[in-house]
Amino acid sequence: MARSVDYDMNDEFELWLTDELESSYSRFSVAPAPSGAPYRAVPPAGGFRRLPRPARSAIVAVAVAVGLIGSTALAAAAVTGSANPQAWGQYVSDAVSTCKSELASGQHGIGQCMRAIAHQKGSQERDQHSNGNGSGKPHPSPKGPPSGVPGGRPNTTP
Amino acid sequence: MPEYTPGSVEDFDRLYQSSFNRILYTIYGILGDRAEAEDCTHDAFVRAFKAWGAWKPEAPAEAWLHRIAINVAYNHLRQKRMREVGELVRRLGRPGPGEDPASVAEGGELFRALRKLPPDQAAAIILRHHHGYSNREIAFALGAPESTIASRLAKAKERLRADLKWPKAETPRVGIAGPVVSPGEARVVLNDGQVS
Repeated sequence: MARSVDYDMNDEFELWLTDELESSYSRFSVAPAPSGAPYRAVPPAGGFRRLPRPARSAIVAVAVAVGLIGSTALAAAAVTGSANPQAWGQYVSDAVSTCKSELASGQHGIGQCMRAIAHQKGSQERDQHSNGNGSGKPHPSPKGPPSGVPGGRPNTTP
Repeated sequence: MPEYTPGSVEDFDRLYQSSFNRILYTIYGILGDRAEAEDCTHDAFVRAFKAWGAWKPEAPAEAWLHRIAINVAYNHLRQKRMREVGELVRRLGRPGPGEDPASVAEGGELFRALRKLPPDQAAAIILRHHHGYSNREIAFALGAPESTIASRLAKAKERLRADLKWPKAETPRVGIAGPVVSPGEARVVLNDGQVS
């Protein structure tokens, strides 16, 4: 920091004071600042906000991806009634085959068909529960493509 | 003046390297004990590090550090005085331990006299006459109005002169053609009664 000179340097006492403090300081602090400063043991304040922007973005992206995977797994488990991820995969691949086979020529996109199957399956599960079939045990994983019963064939027209 | 980014650990390390001894010296001027001054200075750096993300660059970083360190020293003095009252009661009639000879030798008569000043005046003397701070920077470091700094410095110097029996103390004058007053009278004139 630059020395300010807005005090009276003609005052002998002030000159003596300045000289005395300077010589005392040179006796006082011959060593550099200690390297093992206690503040280094303190976790930096601010945490997430102190990270650089790219790192923060990466953390947000990973958190969103983990959340999506988790919610997809939960949804698949709910639809198939099974805790086995293989059953979820089988159910989804069967549904995809069914929807693809039902696409008219020149028609693209099976999203609506898939949503309809999932909705239909959900209704089916709820009906089973309400009819007293809910024994508390996990439901067996479905075999084969969705039957389309009782809601009939899903409407695939956009 | 070096530039720092609030919250940057690397910048705080630089600030620590450049200002540790200066902060330590100021705190030593207030406390008069090197070991205590080192403890308070480290404590101040820990507090400053925790608040580093909130530092605003319009205030000089070292003056900001001084403010934290001086507050730590004030608290330390208060607690020490409380302990000393207890000690005094316990050892009524027995002689006290006296000053640490190492501290007396290290600081000399000036530091002995500085310790007799109120802490804010001792700090102001070191900030001005060693660190070269302006009135504005001293005001920021002490957390006091800038308008009171000149009178605090004048009062502190007057007391130091008297305590050190400075042989060439000039008799202060009031106004251009005002009457010559004694140092005792000057203290009354300059006293703003302000101690933060």
